[in-house]
Amino acid sequence: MKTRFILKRMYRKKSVIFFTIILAIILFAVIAAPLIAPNDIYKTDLLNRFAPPSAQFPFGTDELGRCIFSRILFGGRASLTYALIATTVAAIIGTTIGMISGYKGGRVDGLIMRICDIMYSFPHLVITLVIVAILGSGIYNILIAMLVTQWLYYARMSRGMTMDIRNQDFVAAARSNGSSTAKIIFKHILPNIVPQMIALTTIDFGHTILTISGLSFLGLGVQPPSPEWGALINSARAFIYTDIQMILWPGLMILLVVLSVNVIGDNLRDALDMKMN
Amino acid sequence: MGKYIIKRLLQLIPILLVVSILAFGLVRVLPGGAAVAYLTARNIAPTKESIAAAEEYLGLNQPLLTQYFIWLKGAAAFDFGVSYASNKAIAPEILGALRNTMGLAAAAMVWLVLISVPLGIFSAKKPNSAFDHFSRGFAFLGASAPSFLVGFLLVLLFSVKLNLLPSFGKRNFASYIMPSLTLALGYIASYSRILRNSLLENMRSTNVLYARARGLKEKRVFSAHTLRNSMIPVVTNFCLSVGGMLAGSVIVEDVFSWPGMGRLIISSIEARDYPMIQAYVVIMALLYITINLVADILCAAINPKIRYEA
Repeated sequence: MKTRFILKRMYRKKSVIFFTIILAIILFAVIAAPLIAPNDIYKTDLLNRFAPPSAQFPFGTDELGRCIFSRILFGGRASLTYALIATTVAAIIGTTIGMISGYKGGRVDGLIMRICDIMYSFPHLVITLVIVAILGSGIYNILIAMLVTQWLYYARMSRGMTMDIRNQDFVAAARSNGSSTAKIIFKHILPNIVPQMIALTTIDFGHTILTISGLSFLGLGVQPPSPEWGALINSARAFIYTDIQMILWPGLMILLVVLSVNVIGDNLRDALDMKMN
Repeated sequence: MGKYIIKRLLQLIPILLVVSILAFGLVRVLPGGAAVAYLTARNIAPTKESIAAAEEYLGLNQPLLTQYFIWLKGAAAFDFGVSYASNKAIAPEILGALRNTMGLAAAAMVWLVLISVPLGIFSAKKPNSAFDHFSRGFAFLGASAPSFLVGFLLVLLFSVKLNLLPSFGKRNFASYIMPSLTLALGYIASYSRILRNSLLENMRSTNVLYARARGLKEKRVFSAHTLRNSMIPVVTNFCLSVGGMLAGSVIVEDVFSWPGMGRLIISSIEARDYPMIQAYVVIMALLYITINLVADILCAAINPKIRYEA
């Protein structure tokens, strides 16, 4: 479609280019972690605890003598993969439900909107915590909890946009051709809302990273000794007086990724002339 | 206005009913059931006899509907039963924690108003100025920074290096400063931008143009017309952020060992203390619903259009 036009509008600003490069570097480092990481992330060396940065350990070593740099690289893999899974699945499910709800209207729509009303009467974090309370802590239960709360945003937005498109002539034409509901939704409505849904997904991705690393920080998500940015900070907090770097580096990585994603998403939204609250 | 409020109150009844059923049902969907959870929390081995005794003690062998009404009757009077973990009444403990969290949220609100209102107004008065760019950058940074990072950096600076503020717990007035600032930061960021954009939008509106044409002083145009109309999204977001803060203080409370709702729910999840979790759900939902209602009513009071459309 007009993808090139949107990208051109988006990259007018230097800040967007800058943060795209930052994000690309981090993504590359995290994806190539097995090749880049200088040390085994689980190998402990009690004679070499809290070592200062050196050629072999670029960020030094932690309380068990493990390589902080390698653990941050692999930690990023966990944080970003889980956030990506949670956001994508929520976006697909939410958008589909929203399109069906907006296109069908009537009882289906009423039911889905009532479910939304109930979900909106709790702060999302409360729903997440309750699901973790029932299922127990662990990253997969966190992902389920994220899914339960996040689909709402996509459903609400795609529903509104579908309702605007539903009454346009080309949809009426498709209907009079005898196209099935599924065909109308996925062939005619979906392509029209995809750019906006991508913008929403981008912004939600940053938010999801913060939530997942936050819950891991609380000890509810990724469990040690597996590295994850939030979990790394949780195990480093006891040593805040000894070695602040163990908190600083993973924290800065989260900040940089979320900041980049937010800047990119915000400018994509502007390029699409979207109004969102 | 009275009609509007009554209508909004009536809409709450089904939602409250569902909330109560969900909170009650929470214990029913437990793997192993409530009796096992109770025994585990009390460190008793779950044998056939002990489970039967626990079911008798917790009233689990009564009909489901009877149990629900007994629980609902208690909950309506803020009696949520006894904690599995401490074997003490839940209400005093959770209300104490709630008070601490509300205190934290109130202090965060002070930061929010003190920082984001001037930030928003000055940005809107000179859009695209250096100050506006700075405030935009700050907004992005504030919205992207994980609160545990901000919290630990504040501790490092003000407790470890400067030795000015206490790093944990709730002891005196100074204890409030760092946790509340950490809690407020993300909200300050988004809030100042909402105010700025809303102000800019209203500055271009026809009623502001008309006010100028009538020869009103610029100060009066700003305070009586621009600012007033910009308050609607601000009030809605303000109220919503109170609700968000009460739940979202979990991480901040954990960083600063603040004895509030967040720490209570995390320790209750770890101990599988289900009556406490139930009480948490009910209280949070009640608070959130009330806050949203107040936000809607305030907005309807500012803007008559909302009253008539609803």
